[in-house]
Amino acid sequence: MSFLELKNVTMKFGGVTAVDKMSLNINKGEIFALVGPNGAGKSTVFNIISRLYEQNGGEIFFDGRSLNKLKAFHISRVGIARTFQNIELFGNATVLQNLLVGTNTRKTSNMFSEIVFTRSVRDAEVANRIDVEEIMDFLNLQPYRQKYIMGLSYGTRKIVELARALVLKPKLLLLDEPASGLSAEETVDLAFWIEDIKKIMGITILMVEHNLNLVNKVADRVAAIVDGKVVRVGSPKEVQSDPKVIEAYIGA
Amino acid sequence: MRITFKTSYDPDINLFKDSIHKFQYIFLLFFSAILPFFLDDYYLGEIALILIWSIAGMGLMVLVGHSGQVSLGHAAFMAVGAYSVIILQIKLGLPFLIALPIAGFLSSLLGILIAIPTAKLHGIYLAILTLAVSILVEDIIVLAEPLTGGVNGIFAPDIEIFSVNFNRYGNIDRLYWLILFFTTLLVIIYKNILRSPLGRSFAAVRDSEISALAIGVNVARVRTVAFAISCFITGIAGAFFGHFVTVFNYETFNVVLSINLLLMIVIGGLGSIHGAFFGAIIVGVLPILISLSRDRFLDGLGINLMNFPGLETGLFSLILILFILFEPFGIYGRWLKIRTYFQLFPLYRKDMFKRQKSYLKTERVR
Repeated sequence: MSFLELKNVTMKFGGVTAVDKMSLNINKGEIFALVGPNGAGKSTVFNIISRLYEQNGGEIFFDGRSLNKLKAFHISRVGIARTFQNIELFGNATVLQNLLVGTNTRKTSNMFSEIVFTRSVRDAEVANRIDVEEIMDFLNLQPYRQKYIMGLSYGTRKIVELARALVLKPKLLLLDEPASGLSAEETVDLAFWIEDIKKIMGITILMVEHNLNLVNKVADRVAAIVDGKVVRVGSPKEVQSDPKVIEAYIGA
Repeated sequence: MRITFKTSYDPDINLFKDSIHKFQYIFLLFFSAILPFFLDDYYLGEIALILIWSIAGMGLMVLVGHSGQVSLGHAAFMAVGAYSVIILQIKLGLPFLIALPIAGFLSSLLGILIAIPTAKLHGIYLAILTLAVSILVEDIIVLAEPLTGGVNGIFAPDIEIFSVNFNRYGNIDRLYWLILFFTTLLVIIYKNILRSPLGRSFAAVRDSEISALAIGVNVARVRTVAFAISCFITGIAGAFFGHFVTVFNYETFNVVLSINLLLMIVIGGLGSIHGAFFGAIIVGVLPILISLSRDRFLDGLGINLMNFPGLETGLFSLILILFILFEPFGIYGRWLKIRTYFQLFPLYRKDMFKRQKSYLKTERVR
């Protein structure tokens, strides 16, 4: 059985069918990319998987369990982390604080012990910082440790968002256009990181990406989506040479 | 500029970042504690009132500054605190030290009752709803006459703690110390919340609800908890306020008070404990300054300001307008800039604190 499975998932916004009976299988340990023209429904798929939208039909299975009944804030506990297309960081907080929010899912303390700030809360805080520090080292974020998000460049913010997702120690990572707005150099770095996340951390990655260089470089399999339907699944080469995909991009 | 060489994570977590920082605050506490030996009763009373405003300001700051929910009805929670502590003392004969937390919890309960159905309301809609609740509470106070004394108001009894008497007119110094003790306690609690996972989830909910959800923060629950804590602190402030003014009725806690509280924390600086205190100082000191200048300065020049009854409100509004135009981060923001200027002298650059506006997200206050 596949790691993440979408079965006939349908999402309608009023009269618009954004995702139309889509079925996808993502295997454990692979990097799977969704490509497709704007408005094809790629981000909607992400929002359904992360339970920000309730789909109109169909079912999603992750690691053998159905996600249908879960609330959006449960999804990170199941082992799914995500980034957003338009960066959604906590702007009035430092990089460190942003990443530390990711450790909240593992907290064992209750409100009252936090108000008194007991020894165990303090120990947990130190442990959280060690976790966060590892991720910061991995993604070269140390120079920005105490900087406020509002003062960071776009590229750095993207990396901080990736780091925050990794702090959750996910099994599946959803990356929504990780390379958009990055310079060529930053994109090269990102490609290495994405491969390392797969190889070293053993995290399965599902990503939406328009930058085909990046997709060719890192993706094991690609699905082309047009008008909410999967047109072709296969290796990056196969998908890009498929006449139906080319037609969808260039137009008939 | 002092640089702490960190060899562990503790300096990041501690209440004070280094020993000098610690000394400054202990000195401030010590200085506040010995004030009754220098000041006469009038000024001591004014400072006690400033502390009460600071507590109320902290309460509202949890909600507005840290969890990003606007309330225009916090006077109602002060009212609940003030009325319940006194009713509990008079009708049930409870000692003050037991009545005080109960009053806080009652106020917090009202907060939770409002927060649960309004979990999806934001910004201006939440403000309107809290405003409505505040007006409703005023009416309920009038209607519940057997308990609250209706329009005639209610008299606060003296506070007795272990047979030590606290009374505003008899021994303001003791009341001042009592208030100072609770202020310090609440500051420590507030600071603990900010450095724990709870405080971070507040910031997460304030800045981006959608990614807070994706990261596993139960947004509705965190917002409710923020309301509960905020109303608890505000209720405590109300309890002290009731004992401070000794006699009050429903009009004491009207909408103007709510608006004043909100203005106070905006002037002080949103999103910091310092802001609540700076705002309270402005609110407390301004009337004194106006009356002083009226007596000592303007009368000598033959100008009589008695003819301008709205002067205080007018000046307060003027200060607010100036702050919103020139220093949106409030007095605390200005203070940070001045401090950094001297710490980095002569290396301070003019636009050091200038930050990119991210689609006016911060100004949207949600």
